[in-house]
Amino acid sequence: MHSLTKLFAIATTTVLVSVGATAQQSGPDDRYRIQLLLDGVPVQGSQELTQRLSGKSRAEQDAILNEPLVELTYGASAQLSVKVTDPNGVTRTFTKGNRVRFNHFGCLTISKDWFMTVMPSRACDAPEWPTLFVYFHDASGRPIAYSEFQFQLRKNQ
Amino acid sequence: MENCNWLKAVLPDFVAPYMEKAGRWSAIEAECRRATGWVADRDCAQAMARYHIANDLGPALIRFGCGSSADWNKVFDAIASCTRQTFSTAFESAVSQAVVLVYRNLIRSRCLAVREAAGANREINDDLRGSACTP
Repeated sequence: MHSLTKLFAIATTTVLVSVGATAQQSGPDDRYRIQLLLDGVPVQGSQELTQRLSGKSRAEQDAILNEPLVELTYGASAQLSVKVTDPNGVTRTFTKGNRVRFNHFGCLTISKDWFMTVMPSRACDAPEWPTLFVYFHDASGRPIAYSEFQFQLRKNQ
Repeated sequence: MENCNWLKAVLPDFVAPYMEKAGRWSAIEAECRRATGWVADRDCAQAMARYHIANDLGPALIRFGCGSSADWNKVFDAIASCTRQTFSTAFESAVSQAVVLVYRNLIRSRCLAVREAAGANREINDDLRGSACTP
């Protein structure tokens, strides 16, 4: 590998995963599947994307990656619901409660009743690409699975 | 690399703010150190990646060029390779790579649009062309 390329990669990865030392100690249970619905419509998350990219050629992967993201409109709200499929294949739908928790990036705000709005509630980097992390917890409150969902802010906003 | 000097130009602008803890880097890192566990790890990685892309990488690319397709792919193949070594399971590693790939496409498309609107060559500044690196 070209030395400059390698340096660039190391620098990037250092930042992206600079907390990776602890990431290796424990992690999510990959057997769970998390599906997010916005106003009842499923949104592709990192779990589904990963499965679609698996085993594909570079050209096929690029075609998938060039598919448009779900667009969000600044100031508009959408009702969130989450379907979680456990390792036994049992699917449960969550619309409230603390088994599912969210973290958001890029000017998203989520209300207590699970309405997501593109509206900054804190400093937001890369506001044109809002991201939602969905964490699923077991009954004792321990986080056991997650998926992330990438959106795009509608242009001219 | 098709254009060695392009990467040589982009790299300092991309890396220096993080190394020098400029801007909000110190605050972001301090906040990340306060939390532990895999949830905090992922939240921090996302927060850091977003800040890095928005404030370091994006402006550097817009300044020097978005890179040729071949160079762009080569750089991010290397990043994906590093990412593969970081996470605990193959699936999680694959997820992280998928996310990196999404960012790869988003940041490049934004760079291309900005440079085109500015009337600049989308891929590279003319003085940075060539496979040979200047000292």
